[in-house]
Amino acid sequence: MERHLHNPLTAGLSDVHRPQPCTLVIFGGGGDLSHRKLLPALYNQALDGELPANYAVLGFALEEMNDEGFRDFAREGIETFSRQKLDPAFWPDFAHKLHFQQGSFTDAEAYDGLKRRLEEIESRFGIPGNRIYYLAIPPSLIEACVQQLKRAGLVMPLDGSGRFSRIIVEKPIGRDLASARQINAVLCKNFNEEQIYRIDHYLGKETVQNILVMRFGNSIFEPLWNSRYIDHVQITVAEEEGVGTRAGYYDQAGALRDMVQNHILQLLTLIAMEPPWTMDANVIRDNRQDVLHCLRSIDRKEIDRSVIRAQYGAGFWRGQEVPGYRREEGVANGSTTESYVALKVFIDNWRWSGVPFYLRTGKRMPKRASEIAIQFKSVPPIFFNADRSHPLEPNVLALNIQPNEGLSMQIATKLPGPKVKIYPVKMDFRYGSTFGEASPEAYERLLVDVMAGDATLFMRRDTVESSWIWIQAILDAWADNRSRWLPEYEAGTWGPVEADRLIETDGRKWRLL
Amino acid sequence: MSAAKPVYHDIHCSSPVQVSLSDIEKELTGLWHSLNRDAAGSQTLTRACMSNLVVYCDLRSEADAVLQDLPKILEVHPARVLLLIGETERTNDDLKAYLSIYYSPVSDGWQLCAEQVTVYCRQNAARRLPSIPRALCVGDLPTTLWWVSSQPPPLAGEIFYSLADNADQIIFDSIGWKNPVKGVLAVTQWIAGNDSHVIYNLAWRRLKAWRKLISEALDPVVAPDALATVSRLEIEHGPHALPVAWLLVGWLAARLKWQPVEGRLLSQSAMTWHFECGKDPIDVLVKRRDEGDAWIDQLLWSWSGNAGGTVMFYQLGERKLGVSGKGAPVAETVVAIPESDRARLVAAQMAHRFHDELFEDVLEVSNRMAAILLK
Repeated sequence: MERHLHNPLTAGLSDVHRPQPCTLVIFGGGGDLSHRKLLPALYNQALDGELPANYAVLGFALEEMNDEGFRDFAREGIETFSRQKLDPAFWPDFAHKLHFQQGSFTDAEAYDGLKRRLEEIESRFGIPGNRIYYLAIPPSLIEACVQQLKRAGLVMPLDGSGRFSRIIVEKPIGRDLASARQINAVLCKNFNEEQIYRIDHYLGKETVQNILVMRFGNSIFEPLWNSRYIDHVQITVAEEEGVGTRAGYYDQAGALRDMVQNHILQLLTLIAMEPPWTMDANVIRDNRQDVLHCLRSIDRKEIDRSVIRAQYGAGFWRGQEVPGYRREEGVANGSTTESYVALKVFIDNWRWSGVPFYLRTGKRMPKRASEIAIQFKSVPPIFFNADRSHPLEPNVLALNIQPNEGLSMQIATKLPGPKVKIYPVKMDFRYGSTFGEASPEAYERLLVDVMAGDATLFMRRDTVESSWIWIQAILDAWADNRSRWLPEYEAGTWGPVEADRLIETDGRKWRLL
Repeated sequence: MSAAKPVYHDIHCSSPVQVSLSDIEKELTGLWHSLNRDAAGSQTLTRACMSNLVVYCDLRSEADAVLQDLPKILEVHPARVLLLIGETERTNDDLKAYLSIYYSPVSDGWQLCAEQVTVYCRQNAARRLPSIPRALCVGDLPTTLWWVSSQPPPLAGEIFYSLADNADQIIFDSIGWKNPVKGVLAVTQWIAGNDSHVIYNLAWRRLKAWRKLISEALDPVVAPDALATVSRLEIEHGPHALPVAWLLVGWLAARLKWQPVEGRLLSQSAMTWHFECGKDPIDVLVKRRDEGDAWIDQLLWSWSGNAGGTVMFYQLGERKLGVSGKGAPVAETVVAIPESDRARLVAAQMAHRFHDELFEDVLEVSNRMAAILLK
């Protein structure tokens, strides 16, 4: 088949993003991620007319299910979790494209069956052999799955045929540097790096994408975006729920692996990166990678001055009594896994020299909130700011990632009257109330990106490994510490007193969200 | 004011108050102030505004329909709205103005998303209307003129040109034009001589789902000869949708390099064009159904190469398009049409501030098709 046969009719439909006809195979198609996120995301994109005309979905998993059962499973997920209501008039057309193949991820024969099923679906739906494999499975199964795909001839090489095989891998990529390298080695042995999409759904959020637009689409921010004008940056990812049904996984992972290694470091790179010279995926990813290179390593002797970990104790959350971390079902007795971590981080490059980045994340906090706050330096202590006992509040630019996506700016203003009384006023911009329509969910955007072959919002191998190298130093220091004691914070509060000290010794304080 | 019931989702609207045209800014300040009193804590009233939207209607009935659309538009594109209604028997006054504001909750306060000035006038005052947007549009913001009239814009005369002078973008809708051939000719000639405005026909935006499905179903990878050896097209459309079918044929001709050679009106409800692509002939038949909705009902695409084939594209109700093939390698499928009511189309278009070169190419071919038909 000739590559890139010219189709003049595609002009003007979409400049960059043109999802290609394909079959999406969801490994773990009967699981929670598929139910809550992937199938609703596909449905929404189909309803919005964003998917190609020729596509199909094939769930592959151990569960005993047939096509009809999978369609019922999808329908239930869409009715419960979809951004848009299920449209009964469109549902049969969408359901018609959903299929299920039962099989074990480690069974070679199951993959031969998968191949036959794919060929049958592709012939029926006019799909030219393009396949996307979404691994919604535990990390321990990735290696077997990838090897079986290769063995069964399900991985199309990048040979210019125009057909593609792409693989999407969910976080966490490993639980430490060694295991991340192991997973990456297996992926790269069987797929080309260009075919691998390591997903971090945070990067698909509208506000996260808006960070780049805000920084590089406006001329007023970038000149201030450096150590000369910025006092410090705070990144907070607060979760209100406890470990819940994820206790088994979470107790092996903890907040540092679960949140900091991926989501928070990705947010940090977007805030701190240098301006890219083009929208090319690799250029943007190179610039994010440079930030990781410049992250100052945390010296294990100094670790307690830079990193605070803690567990939630019993307390009250929204008026309801909740147990402490160690009393949660599925958590090991005497567990030292952190449910909260706060860090003080420096980026040793010209732009950010001396500017602390305070990062914190935790479970059982008072509310769900993710925010990046840029606090600018105070005006000099003269004139309006001459009263040292009542300094003016500094300007803060806050980017709200969730739940109320948007940004706000705090500025000082004069209260009306004969006297000069200055008051901080918050100017609030919200996507929801300004642009009305609900933004597409992160998974919607990311799935269409993979169909279109756009890797900008996905993590490259070097990014994953660089972040693990930095995190590993902290994990090693913690492993050396044989103490079974961890600071505790009451459930439903903003974290331990030790974390307050981390920032307050610098003369700053955590933002109240 | 905050207790008012939302008019759409979270959007609230104050009751219109009659104002003197010379006092509008002062009255607006008063309305903002009363809204700001409801804000609590350190949250002040904020205002988001992306554009000026000047709407012109010939008739009260058109204005009533626009009033239904405005909250949906303003929800996604906050703007200052000047709704100008050029004909009414309601009043003896030449010009009568009403003022209202739209706002939505944010944090513990309110965000103002639009101000609406509605001006009614009798026809003999229409020449005074263009002076109103000149005085009332917010500076530094782009201005869109939404022309809501069954008259093609250039045929409306002075009032259209005066209002267009003040605008960066002009939006109109060719669906419902009484004489589409005359309208297409007038509009294409006007656009050909106009570089200063972004001009957009909502009928073109409605075609997007059709364009996407046709381009994907007939992609050379899927149906290798379907585009290159097309020989015949048959299009059926509902009442008032001839301009849409015309644009569809214009798009195909522009992209596939068909040259219009001949055109004939077969009856009140059918016309045909003969195109050439190189030396290959292509015949296009466009037929109107007597009843139905103002959209394209179906398109039959036949080609001759490699044993040939025929593919049928069809609209299935308001939100679905289908495709099926006879002896063709095209898979039968049904796709959703994204919601495309008029308010959404206008809001989406307001966010586009640049010329659509493809649309202008299509108009150029459409113009030649009209000229050949009238020859």
